[in-house]
Amino acid sequence: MGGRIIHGLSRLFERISSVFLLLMMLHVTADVFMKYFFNAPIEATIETVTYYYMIGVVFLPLAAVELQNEHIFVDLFVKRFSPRLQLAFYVFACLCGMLYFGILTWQTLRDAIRATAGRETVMANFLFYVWPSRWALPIGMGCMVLALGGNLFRALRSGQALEPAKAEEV
Amino acid sequence: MGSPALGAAGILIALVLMGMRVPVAVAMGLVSFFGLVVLTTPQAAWGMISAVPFDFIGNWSFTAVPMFLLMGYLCTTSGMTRTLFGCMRILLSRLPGGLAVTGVGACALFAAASGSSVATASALARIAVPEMLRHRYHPGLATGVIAASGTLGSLIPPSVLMILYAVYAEVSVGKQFMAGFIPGILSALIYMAMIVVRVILDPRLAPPVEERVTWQAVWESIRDIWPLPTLIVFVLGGIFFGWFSPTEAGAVGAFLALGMALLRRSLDRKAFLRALVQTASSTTSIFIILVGTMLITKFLALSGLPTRLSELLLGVSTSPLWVIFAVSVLYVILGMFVETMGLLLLTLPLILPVANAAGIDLIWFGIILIKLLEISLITPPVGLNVYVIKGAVGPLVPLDEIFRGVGWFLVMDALTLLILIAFPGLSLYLPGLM
Repeated sequence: MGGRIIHGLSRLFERISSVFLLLMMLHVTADVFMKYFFNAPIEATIETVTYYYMIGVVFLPLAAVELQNEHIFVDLFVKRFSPRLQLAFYVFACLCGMLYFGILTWQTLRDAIRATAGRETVMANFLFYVWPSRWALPIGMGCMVLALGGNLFRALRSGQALEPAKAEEV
Repeated sequence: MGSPALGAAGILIALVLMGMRVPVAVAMGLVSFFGLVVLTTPQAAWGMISAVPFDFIGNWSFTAVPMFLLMGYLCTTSGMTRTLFGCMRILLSRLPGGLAVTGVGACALFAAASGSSVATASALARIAVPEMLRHRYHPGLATGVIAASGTLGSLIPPSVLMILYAVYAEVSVGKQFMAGFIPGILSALIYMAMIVVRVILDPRLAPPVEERVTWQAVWESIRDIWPLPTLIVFVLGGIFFGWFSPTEAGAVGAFLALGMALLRRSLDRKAFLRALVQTASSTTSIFIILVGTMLITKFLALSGLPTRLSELLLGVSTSPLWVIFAVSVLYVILGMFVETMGLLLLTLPLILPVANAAGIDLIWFGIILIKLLEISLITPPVGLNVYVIKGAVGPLVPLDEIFRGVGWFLVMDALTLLILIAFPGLSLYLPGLM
């Protein structure tokens, strides 16, 4: 049950980040087109792309990447150990991850609440709100903590470390 | 309050954690956070956590990374790589070891549409390696050539590693791209020359391929392939002549690749979604490490380790050659254990201040670093590209055979590296024109 919720959430955020990616491509292309052919660039392209699309693309899929075991790590040494020892190291790695992303979630959540309360903007020639995109961080990282917890639980129940997916892209 | 010893201990602990299979991003981030707590105050440490991720990732230059990754994925899924090998083959297959030379050429051209070495190697492995094996090429040569030529993916622009390096070193991404162009072509030509010479000396390595090329075949292959070179010229030319920023070039390039794929009817909805999801995951796994890099940069800077290290190294000699030698030794050693992206992002906070203090041109230094990283991609035991090839060919060729096959290419890489170090102009000529 819990596992299904985590999977569902991570898939959802992964989809949202794909939409952001598509928007990034279309928005920048449209801006270039308007700039060269009509001499009328689209206002706030750079701000929208960096503060919304990029932040979304980077932080929202964290949990999905974890569930597919695609975060970059070194398994040169550990994979030579016995399965029991591998499990122990896997549990340790998950706990380290939960601690780190827990720290990040906590702080970025406080930042998001503060930014929302103050209706945070960035320096630009026009009024540009960034506070909504602050929420991508605690959401993405919070889901990451859940995903790590889920993987830890699965590993403990099955009694072995989860197999990493093949390195596909660096 | 500075304490270089604490900084060094932090690096060591991060490396040990990585060795214990803690993800690279987590190892760097945790060490930095607790290191900052010890060095300064808990409040300052929380302050860094608050400032770094959002402010640092929200950077216009970085948005070029997902755009070029997407462009590369779209080119691969639309089947352009398959036609690419076929076309190059018509041009190059008459040479001794023609199919291997073709493999180098196809990798070099694909590298100009792809920002990643692993992507380049995996794109061509499934097409080129079986073809060479079918013509009874020596298995070490057939696999080694693609593993090695795949590394051109990061040297020939666009390149994800170069974007990360350039933004971190605060040099122009466009200039850094152009700096890789001639070194990339040079690497490819040296690989090709080595293959031809080896096959002339020992023809058993690569039996000649009997092939009659008809004008019709030439015409058809040109008709199939033209979109890819056009795309490359448009994107790289646009950056070189200053029409586009790298992000704009990547976005327009991805858009055109999508358009071409749709015209050729080679992309369905599912493949397109897969390209989007894969690009997003790759972007995430790269940038979450970069967050760790920025945290560890702050921690190390406060510990004073980079300054101390510069003093130590430059106390021996202030010659750029000495610094490059020291960095090469470091990369060859660490490169055996840590994967490329992690290696670059872990070491930059330490070595960039040294390069800066020695007055080394940072664009040239970037090219040397990328070439060193590419070498670590094919050296045992973690040569990631070799595993990619192994994954693509399956049980046909054993792993150590591939590593042996890569050996000659490593020798050529060392030669190329020496040439690039001896003649900085090779890297700096094109950026100088911009």
